[in-house]
Amino acid sequence: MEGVMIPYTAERRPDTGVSNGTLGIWLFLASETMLFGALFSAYALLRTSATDWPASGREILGTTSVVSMTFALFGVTAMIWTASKPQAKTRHFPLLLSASLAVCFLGFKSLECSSKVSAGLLPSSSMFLALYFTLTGFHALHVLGGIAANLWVARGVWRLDEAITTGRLKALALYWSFVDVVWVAILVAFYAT
Amino acid sequence: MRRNSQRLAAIGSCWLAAGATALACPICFQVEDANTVAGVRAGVIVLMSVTVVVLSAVAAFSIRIWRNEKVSRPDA
Repeated sequence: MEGVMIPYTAERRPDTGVSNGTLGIWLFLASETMLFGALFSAYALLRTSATDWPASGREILGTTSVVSMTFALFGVTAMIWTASKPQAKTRHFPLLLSASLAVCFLGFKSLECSSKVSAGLLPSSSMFLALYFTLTGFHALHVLGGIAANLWVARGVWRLDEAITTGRLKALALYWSFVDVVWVAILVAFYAT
Repeated sequence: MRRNSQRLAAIGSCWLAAGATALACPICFQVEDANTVAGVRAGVIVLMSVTVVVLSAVAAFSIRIWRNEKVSRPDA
C-alpha cells in the first residue's frame, strides 16, 4: 500500500484557506491551550480552596525581574513579527536578536528561581510556590523550545526559498504570541493579584 | 469461551459478595468544607471554558472547510 504524500508547499490551500504549515501550528497551539488550560484549572481549584494564600504575590516574588522578563518576551515576539513580513530586508538579525532576548528571559527567570530556593522558598513550602514553580517552569520550557525553533528557522534562511521561510516565520510568530498570552495569564495569576 | 464466562461470573459473584464499604470522593457527597467545593467548581469552570473555546474554534474551522468545498465544487 502506497503512503499518501502531502506536498511540501507554502501556498494557501483552497479548501482550508491557509497553508499546511499555518494549519499545523494552529493545531499544535490548540493542544498547547488544552495543556495550559489544565494547569490553570488546577491553579483555580487549589487557589480557591487554599486556606493559606499570600495577600500579594509581589511581596514574595518581587517586581524588578518581572518587568525585565516581560519586556524581553514581548521584544521576542515583536522581532519575529518584523522578520515574518515579506518586505523584511533581513531575516537573520531579528531571529538571532529574538533568540538572545529569549535567553535573557530565561536568565532572569533562573535568577528569580534561584533566589527563592536560596531563601528557602521551595515548591514544597506553600501551595502558592508549588503552583508558581509548576506554571512558570512549563512556560520557561516553552521559551526554551522557542529558542530552538528560532535557531532552526535561522539555519534554514540561507538554504530555503523566500515563501517557505516566510511561512516558517509566521508560524514562529504565532507560537511566540501564544507564549506571550500565557505569560500575561501568569502575570495576572501570580504577580498582579 | 464458556469456561471464561464461568470464571468471570465467579469472580463477579465474589466481588459482589465481599460487601466492602463503598469508597467515594467526599466532594460528591457534599462535604461541609465550602472552600473545597468552591475550588472544585472554579477548576471545572476554567477547564470547561478552555475546552469550549478550543472546540468552538475547531467547529468554526470545520464549517469553513465545508463552505469552501461547496463553493469550489462545480456541481454545487
